Amino acid sequence: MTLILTTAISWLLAAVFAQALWHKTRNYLEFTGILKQYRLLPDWSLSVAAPLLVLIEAVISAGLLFTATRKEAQGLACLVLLAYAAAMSVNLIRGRREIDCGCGGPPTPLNEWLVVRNLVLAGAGTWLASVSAKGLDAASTLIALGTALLLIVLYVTANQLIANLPYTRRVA
Amino acid sequence: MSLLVISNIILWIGVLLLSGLVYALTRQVSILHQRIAPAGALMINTELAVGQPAPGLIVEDLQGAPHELPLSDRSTLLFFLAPDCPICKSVLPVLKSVRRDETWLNVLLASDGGEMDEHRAYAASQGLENFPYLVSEELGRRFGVSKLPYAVLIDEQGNVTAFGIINSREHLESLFEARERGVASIQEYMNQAATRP
Repeated sequence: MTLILTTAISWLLAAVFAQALWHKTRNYLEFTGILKQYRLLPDWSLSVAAPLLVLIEAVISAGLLFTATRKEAQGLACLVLLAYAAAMSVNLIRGRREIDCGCGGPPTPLNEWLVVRNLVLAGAGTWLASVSAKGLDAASTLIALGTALLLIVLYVTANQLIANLPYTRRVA
Repeated sequence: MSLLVISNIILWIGVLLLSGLVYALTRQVSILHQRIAPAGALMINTELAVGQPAPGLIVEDLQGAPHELPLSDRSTLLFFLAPDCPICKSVLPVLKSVRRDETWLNVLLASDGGEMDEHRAYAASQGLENFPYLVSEELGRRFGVSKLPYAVLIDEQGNVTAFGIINSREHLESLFEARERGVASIQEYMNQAATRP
């Protein structure tokens, strides 16, 4: 039971990072601009940090798919998620709400829910890292696959709702 | 197959379909919102005001030719950019097409200070030889430009018509749209929409 759930969640995290990776590489110029807007890294380091983040996300996404490397990938995923949450919190505290969060898709201004989202994902990742990863039999794999699919759809729905927030507030 | 298994399979399919439906609905809400709210250039400026005369000054371009602002023959689009600004680069093709298609408009590029050689190399590498390329720190300061890429639209009488941060073709076109509609910015347009009953 636990194993099915942990497998499903690590597939969810793999999808989350794959999506982030997709957006970053497809709009690479935009991504470097967003990184700059966070005003956390000195300008000279951006040309190193941007490809490094892309690389890290690729490693995490791939690592999560295999049981042998899952644990390390989960640890790394938690670190990255917490780092992003911290970066967003710093800018929220600075009052720079107008900057694009860099979540991909249409520009989404920063807000607290994005931090909550990252903390929930990081929390799930931490829990995963405490449970040992093993392979599953065919029936369990199928259930895990369905669960992962469900989690992914719920995740993108939650994301979409967060992205809608600024519009909804303006209309309401 | 036991009834429990069958019911479980049906429930699984139902849950997945429903979650997909909910996602599709949230997407549609988003698209609706975007349709209601047209994309526009974000306006942040403490120096300029729409309807006020644009700052007057004489600025030299890369070739050393002086340009007296505001130009009085046609409307003027002042586009502020910098060689190290990645988004500026992505807007350049739009500027080229605007320069070609919008005959009522002078398109001027502007950058504040920096190495002249760097600007010349940039202009050459991006094919900007046909644009007047002004380099002046005072220009950026007088126009209150704090973020790039930035554009200011000035009418033929020398008054500021619209301005804002330009990240895309839509943003640039919103300046022209603002000129036609007589609103200062997307924010003003949205505020008008919000106060309407």
